[in-house]
Amino acid sequence: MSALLEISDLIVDCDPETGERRDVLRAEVVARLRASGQHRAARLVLRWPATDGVLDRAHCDVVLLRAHVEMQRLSEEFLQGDRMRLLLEPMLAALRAGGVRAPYRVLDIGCGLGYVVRALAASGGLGRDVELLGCDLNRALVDRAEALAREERLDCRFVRGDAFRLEAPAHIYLSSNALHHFHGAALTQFFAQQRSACGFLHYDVQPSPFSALGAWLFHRSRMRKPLARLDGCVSAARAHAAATLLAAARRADGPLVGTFDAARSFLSVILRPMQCVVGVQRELAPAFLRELGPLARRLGELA
Amino acid sequence: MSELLTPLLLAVLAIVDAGFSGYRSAAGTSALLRKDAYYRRAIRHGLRCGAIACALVAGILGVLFACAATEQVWSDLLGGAGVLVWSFGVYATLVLLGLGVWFVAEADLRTLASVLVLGPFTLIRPLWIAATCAVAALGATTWLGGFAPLLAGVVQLAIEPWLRRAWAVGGARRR
Ligand SMILES: C[S@@+](CC[C@H](N)C(=O)[O-])C[C@H]1O[C@@H](n2cnc3c(N)ncnc32)[C@H](O)[C@@H]1O
Repeated sequence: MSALLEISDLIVDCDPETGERRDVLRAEVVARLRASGQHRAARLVLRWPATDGVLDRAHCDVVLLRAHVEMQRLSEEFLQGDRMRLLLEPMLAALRAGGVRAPYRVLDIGCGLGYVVRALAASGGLGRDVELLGCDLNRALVDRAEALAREERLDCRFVRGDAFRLEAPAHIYLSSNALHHFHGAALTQFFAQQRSACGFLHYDVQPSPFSALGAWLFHRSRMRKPLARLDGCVSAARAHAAATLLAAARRADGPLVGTFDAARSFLSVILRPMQCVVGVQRELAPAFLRELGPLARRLGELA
Repeated sequence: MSELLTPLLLAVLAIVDAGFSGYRSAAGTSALLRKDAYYRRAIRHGLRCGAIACALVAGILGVLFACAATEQVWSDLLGGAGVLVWSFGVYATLVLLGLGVWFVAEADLRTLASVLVLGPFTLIRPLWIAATCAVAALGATTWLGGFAPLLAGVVQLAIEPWLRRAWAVGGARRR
């Protein structure tokens, strides 16, 4: 049986350069899900409309958007915006202290509906020299993120495209719930593409003996859309161990890397459902650690 | 407990539970950040439905009781209501404790309260209601005493799916 797959990764295929949508064959998606033993997911996709075997794009977008709206509850209840701010503020302070030229571009890779970027913009206080940007390959998600930000008059932007092929690179890269979408060489490549950034902060679920049960409980009780339930549980099962993330990030030979809140004891596994891979350029690291203050205790060794 | 206090407490618990159902019917349907007013409206909607449902159940039971009023039936009705109040009271206390932690604690404890208390309690709610009503019905010696908790349980369980459908049609649009 092959590795677990998320339906949302299979039903949308965009050309990373042009953004153009490519046809997705329903039978192919179903076959891949079956091959990985995900029969419920396969049955779900089999019920979706298709013309000449090609999945209906409008239907896929509607299903995906609704699932993302529901999945935003995870970020809301887990206070993902606050968690990110906790590390982003010290990192921005380190950039200022290190004399890095402003404005500072902060980019959320695979922002989906842009919850984290919008939450950071809504709570303000990051500084006028900070530009908040969200980026995703999927146009439907980016358009909705932009519309939501406009409706609440938030000072942030969203662009469609490959986060690593934008015109101007970011000073700080962020992501949440995205790391588990990259495996093996793709994970190494993910970090390699941020080699010259000042820093990065990538949050994802902490894998533990309890994460499968916790994810099942959370998604079963909070989500109603089958896609949100199925993908939510799979994403917890696909989460990377801290050691895997560190190895991939260090292979990239970029900023110094450490993990924040990576489980070190039974209690921390239970208390800390999210962990963050933190990268910061060597010359900015002392200032970053200073700015972190007591929080530095939750950060593993930067190396 | 006085004779009036039990049904009154039961009505309060049922209406509060419907308020939570109202919240759940709206949760996960809007991706905006500022949703306080949206949720408040959903909760008010739930509370109103809860109050109407209580009046409906009380009305039906009142008519049936008027047709078959005996000491034994009255004592059965009160006994059943007592079982419901105790069980739902325990459930409500545990949920409120979980919510209390969620509101005052820092991020990690909040997450824990959400995953370990609030999530599971939402999941077992239908089972809890069904089991409690079944126990109350089985303890009755008259048909009306057995019917009353079953009716209350069915109505309470029907509120959430109904609210969800109503919210999907009207509420989300009025975001
Ligand atoms: C599971 S979603 C995470 C969404 C969001 N961060 C959240 O927490 O809900 C992962 C997203 O990453 C996007 N993605 C993957 N690789 C990307 C890249 N190179 N550039 C931009 N977006 C990418 C996918 O389109 C997908 O929407």
